[in-house]
Amino acid sequence: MQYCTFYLDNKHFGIPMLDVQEVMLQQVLSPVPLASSVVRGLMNLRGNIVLSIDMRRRLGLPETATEQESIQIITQGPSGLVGWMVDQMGEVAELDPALGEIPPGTVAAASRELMTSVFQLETGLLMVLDGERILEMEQECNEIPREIAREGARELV
Amino acid sequence: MNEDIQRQLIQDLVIESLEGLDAFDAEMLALEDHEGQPQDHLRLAFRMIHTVKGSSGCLGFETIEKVAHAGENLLSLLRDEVMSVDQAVITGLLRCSDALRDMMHCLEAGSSPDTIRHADLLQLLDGLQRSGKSEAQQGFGFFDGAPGAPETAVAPSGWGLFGDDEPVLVVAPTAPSSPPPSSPPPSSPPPSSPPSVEVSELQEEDASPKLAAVSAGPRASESAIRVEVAQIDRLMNLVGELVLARNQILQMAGEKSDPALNGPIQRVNLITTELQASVMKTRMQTVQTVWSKFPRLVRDLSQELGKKLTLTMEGQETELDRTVIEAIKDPLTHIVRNSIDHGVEDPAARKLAGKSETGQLRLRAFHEGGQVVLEISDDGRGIDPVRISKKALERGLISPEEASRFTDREIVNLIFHAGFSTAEKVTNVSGRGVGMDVVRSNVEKIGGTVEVSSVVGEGTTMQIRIPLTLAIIPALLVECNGDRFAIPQASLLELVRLDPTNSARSIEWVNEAPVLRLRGKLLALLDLGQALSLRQQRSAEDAFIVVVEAAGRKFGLMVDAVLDTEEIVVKPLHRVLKSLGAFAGATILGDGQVALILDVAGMAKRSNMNANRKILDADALKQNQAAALDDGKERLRLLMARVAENRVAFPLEGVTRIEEIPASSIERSGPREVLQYRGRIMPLVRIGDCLGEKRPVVKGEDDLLHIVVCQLRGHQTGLIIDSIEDIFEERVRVERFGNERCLAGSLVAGGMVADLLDLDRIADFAGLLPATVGRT
Repeated sequence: MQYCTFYLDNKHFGIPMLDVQEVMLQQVLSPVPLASSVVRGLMNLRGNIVLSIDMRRRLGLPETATEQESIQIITQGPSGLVGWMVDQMGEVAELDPALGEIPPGTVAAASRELMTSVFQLETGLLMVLDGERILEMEQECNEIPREIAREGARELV
Repeated sequence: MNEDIQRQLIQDLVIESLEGLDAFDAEMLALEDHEGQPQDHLRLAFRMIHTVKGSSGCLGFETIEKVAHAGENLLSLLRDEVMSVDQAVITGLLRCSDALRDMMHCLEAGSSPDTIRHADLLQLLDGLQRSGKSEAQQGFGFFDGAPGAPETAVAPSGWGLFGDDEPVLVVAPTAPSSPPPSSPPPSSPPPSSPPSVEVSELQEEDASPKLAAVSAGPRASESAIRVEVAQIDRLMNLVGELVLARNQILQMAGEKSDPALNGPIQRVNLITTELQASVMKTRMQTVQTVWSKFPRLVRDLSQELGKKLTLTMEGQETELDRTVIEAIKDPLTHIVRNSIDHGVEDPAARKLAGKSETGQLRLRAFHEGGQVVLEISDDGRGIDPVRISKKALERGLISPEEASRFTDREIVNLIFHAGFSTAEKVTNVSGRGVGMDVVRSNVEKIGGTVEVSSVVGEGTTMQIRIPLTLAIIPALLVECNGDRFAIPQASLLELVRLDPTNSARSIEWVNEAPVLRLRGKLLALLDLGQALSLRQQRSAEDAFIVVVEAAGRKFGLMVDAVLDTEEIVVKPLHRVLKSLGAFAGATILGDGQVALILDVAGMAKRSNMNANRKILDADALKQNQAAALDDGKERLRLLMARVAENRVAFPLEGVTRIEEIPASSIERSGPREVLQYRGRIMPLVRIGDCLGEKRPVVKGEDDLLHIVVCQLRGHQTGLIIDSIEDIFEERVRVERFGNERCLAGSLVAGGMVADLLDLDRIADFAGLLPATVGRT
């Protein structure tokens, strides 16, 4: 099975290739006032409006120190296009799902519930996010109040 | 895989059957009204119900088949003139089609149609048959074994097969007196004495594709195909994007002006425009889609209420965007129900009032000023303004002062006010918890307006004005905290510029709530930045105020800058953002960036604008009362301007826009000064000339001219003035002393005398001919 991999805060993540529509370089985002901080904004993808979600915030990872050009992984969610904002793309990994291990219980709750398995690669660990959950996630993005998302980030720092 | 095919087949069955049943109803009603040849109606109705029976039988839905079969039997007796058509029979057949429709909806929802019980109906149909003649009963036996030949279950071509079975039923052997069947098996020789024309016709149609066979018209064209709405929406999306790209190219070409490029670019330009228009057109549906339900509704309701009614419909072919059609369906139905229930009197009362016993209900649709107008009028008892005003007073919706001041028309329009329910009139027909305020809010939701006018004893007319499409709307772009937002023009009333140096134009406070005095009324203000949590507090006092109105609430939105008006393509918002309640959608601007469209009603709700309203209304009321003592004056909204030494007043309802243009952009066309304005040529009239001002102010090439854009005889016309002063809403008395050619008279507004312009006379003065109708 193929996984599309990417980096967040120097950690290696992957999602099933089949869930990915395309990958785009950072576009101009129009912020959405009143929305949860996880929502980074809206962008234009060939006439379609894409909701951009900050993966760092969603997974409770610390904010980037430097404002670097980020990358959007576009998926077709149940209620529209969603762009998952990540730091950097990795390789496409061809992995046998059977080799994946259950994520240890010590992983922070915010990210553990999204993880299906962890692969031991030669270069380090690859944490695979649940494709289905990631598509459902958009519904929850609205429910995470700003403060909690921020606190979660602080804890990990 | 089999399941997929099955699902697809069921879906086809549902769509086609529902269409067929609608057509069936129409035929039945036409039959009842004795329009055309009864045989034609019967034949078509028979074929439709037969198709429903056949195809549901193919898929093994025996209950549907049974009900359809019962209806078909009854129809065949009518067709063969074994029994005659009367109201009871028609009612029975219509109920049969209702039952079939219900079952189709069940299928559509994925549940079993068998859950609906039809014992009553079957009994009724059976009874009707018996009361006619009993021969056709024997037909039953033949059909029971018919359903589900496997090859027909997968191929739509199965329609023909059932055509083969039909004659078995119809050529009921014991009915020798009956005319021959209309549809013999194509392969077998025609039975004894068929009218040959009919046979060949039917054979032809049996062979035609299924779409032609089931669609509404008897000669449905084969050139039509069914396209998924989502597909058209995708096309629309792409075209919108193409338009953006085209605009960017045009802009770049304008800068470079390479002659070799100009030709192809112009072509791309034209093709894009045309493409956009045709894609828009594919989304259009005729008003008929909604209206087709009304003959049935009128018939059933008037029978139920014991009233007599004729329904006339004009302009069914008027086209509207399908989203608009969808949105007006319920409001329209409600108004029609209301008209039948409350509007038209029962025959006895009508006779007493000296009217014909049969009431008239008229539906009209037509284009006017880039909008579609839907008119529902009846010749019933009308709405009594005295009663309405009494009721409104009782409920505290208006003050006694207002009650005496309002015109009858204003009073009657109070029925759209939330909280105005004439409970004493509630019946099970129209008192279903949906008031006229819901009608209004539904119409306003799509950027439309609704108005009622009524003459007691003569009738009521409801007018709904709606935009042609929801996909593209005119909107005002504003800026707040560096972000751009679009405000739909439909909810926009006016723009006010705050001036901190002028106390009459600055913000005041009522218990922490910012307000603005606007023409003697207090207007609640809402800072867009604060409402959207973009900032804690406004810093600058010089802001723009966008006065908006939604769901009867009027308030001012403070924004940092007003950018432009633009036609925007509305895109739906992701569900995550819908729940915020502040945005109606998003759009892509000319530079490719996304801007949010504000939901004005939602913003008001979020900011408790509702709660504030009462206090403000009370304040405004006091001011009004003070102002409304003297008589002989009318309330006018005036745009005041200066031309040389004169103060002139424009009636505000005649004014479309106010523009500033450089004097150098004026061109000439014949004796006339004209301006290129929004892609058209706009004639210009100098108000100074109209007033006979001898010394026209000559301005330099780069000076800015102020233009008031008005509609004169259907032309957008620019009236040149020296400067704009203000807008007043005042009760004024217009007095005429002389016969000045372009003036309606003089008045006092804002404490000074001004001349009120007469736009019609200005049009005469400028020698404008009426614009050709139909152009926009």
